[in-house]
Amino acid sequence: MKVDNIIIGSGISGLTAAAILARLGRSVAVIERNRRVGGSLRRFKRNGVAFDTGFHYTGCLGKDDILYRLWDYLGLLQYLDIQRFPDYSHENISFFDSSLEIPLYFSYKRSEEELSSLFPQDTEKIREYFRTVREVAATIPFYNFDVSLNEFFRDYWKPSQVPVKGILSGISDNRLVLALLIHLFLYGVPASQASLGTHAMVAHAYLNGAYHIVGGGQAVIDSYLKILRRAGVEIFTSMDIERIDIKDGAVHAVCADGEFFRTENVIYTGHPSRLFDLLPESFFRPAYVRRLRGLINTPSMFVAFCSLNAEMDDYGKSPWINYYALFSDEDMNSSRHRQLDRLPVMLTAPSVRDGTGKQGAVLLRESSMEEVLAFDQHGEEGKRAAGYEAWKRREGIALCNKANMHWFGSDEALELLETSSPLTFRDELGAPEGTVYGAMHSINQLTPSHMTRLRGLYLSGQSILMTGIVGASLSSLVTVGEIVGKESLWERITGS
Amino acid sequence: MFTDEQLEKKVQDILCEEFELDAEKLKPQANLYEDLGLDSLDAVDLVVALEQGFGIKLTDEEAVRSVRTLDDLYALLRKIRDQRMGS
Repeated sequence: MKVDNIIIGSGISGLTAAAILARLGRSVAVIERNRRVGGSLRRFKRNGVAFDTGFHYTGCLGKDDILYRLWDYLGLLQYLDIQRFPDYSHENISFFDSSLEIPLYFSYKRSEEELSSLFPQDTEKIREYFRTVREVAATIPFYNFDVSLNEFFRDYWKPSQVPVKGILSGISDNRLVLALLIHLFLYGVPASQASLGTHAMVAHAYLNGAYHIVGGGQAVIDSYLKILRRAGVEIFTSMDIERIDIKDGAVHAVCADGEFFRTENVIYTGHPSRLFDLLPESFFRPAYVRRLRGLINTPSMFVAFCSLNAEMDDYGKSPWINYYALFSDEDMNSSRHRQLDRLPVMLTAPSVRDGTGKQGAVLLRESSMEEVLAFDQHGEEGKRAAGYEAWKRREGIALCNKANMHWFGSDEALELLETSSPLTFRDELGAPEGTVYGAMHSINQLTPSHMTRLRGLYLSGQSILMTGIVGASLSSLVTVGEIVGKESLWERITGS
Repeated sequence: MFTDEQLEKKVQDILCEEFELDAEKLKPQANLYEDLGLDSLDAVDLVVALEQGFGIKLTDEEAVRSVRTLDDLYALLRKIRDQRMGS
């Protein structure tokens, strides 16, 4: 088979790359290792309750925002019911050891007002924080279409050396610092290593509004599949890539499950450290191989999927609010080797926002391979040692009990239905160490480029540009731009 | 602290081992890009390799960008070394 472009991986970055190329009339095929398309955007059901694995809410879907423009360009919007979070919605930051609740609204203005009224002595610092985030965001082309894409990408791999914590120094109440830094949860970098540039890129998206998609991430996948099928894009699932063949210093073909695909371009959306499983390492400089293999990853998660035994309203809770619980002396640094019962917990209920179906909520806390190492049978996928199910159930119930006590004042509001551990993320999503946001975008680490030394080989995904549905989508926009012409693609999508 | 000679030797070792360059080509006047064949992607890895090798941070973007020859690179690293000794 001959096809001009092969996309490896069918998560949001793979689907986006395929759709842009198809929209431009290029021939594309997508190869996915898993039996299902969509990666962490997939939704699943337990006992009739719908759960979202990795996608809970997003920014950038306002009419003038970049993700909306991209989806409009691709023709996806006709299939999607996008709902803006109502004005009262917010990130709700609460504490295990303090009765204070801090709301961080999906609005600069409202956040500034509410935080200033809660912490009047820190009004100046609060203002400065939001002003700085806004100023940095205005230098990022995805938020300000007038900024030159080329100019931005000249330096983007090098994180700004300004630590985000720097602009928060002088705030005496750590609870306020935690509330302002709550977006760290959305890209998985410890506070001590978070750069202002990366932080602003994430925080700005949510301070401008949050959005729900009816049907969750699955609705996004299904819409992509509609446009891809119509464009004649072939999608192969349950297919393992054996190797990428090189000829005369360029990509020549992809071999997968005995099939031979002659191709010009390959966009690889997997974790960069796994790239060399498919290619001769010797083609690249040792420094490059070592850097990609040695990338430090964002943490993994332990997730408890629960049914809700009453309406959230009955407990004075709203599905349009995301609830966080922390200790007030939390430092938001890496919690590896830390006591499990000290970890922050997040509660979110995306499927309840659909307004139909049975009620369920998702509880998340950080986790790492160390926690599950004993159950990993020789690193073999899907093979788990005895006791794994019992351990997962125990941890899930512990998380559930904690959430019930803290948020619902009842021991039966949430009931555990399913859990996922770092092993689940690792094996289902091909994520080394079960990392949920890929390689860290931090002060201490350079972001891998979407370009490679091998002509015709490009990288995309959360590790390349930015995390989350926005980061992964934009990563593919940039990567495909490299193949088809960055500036002209940008013009088509943004109209500027 | 590195002497000038040690510093140059270390840069050469990094270029040989991490970039598989031919030691004989590593003349002081050699242009990193035109003579040694590095490209802009390699420059990123070179920054990382030098930072790790010397335990420093190459934060001055303009200074890094203006490096053309091996001599330029030695001069930049000497400058950083001397600044650290001074501080």
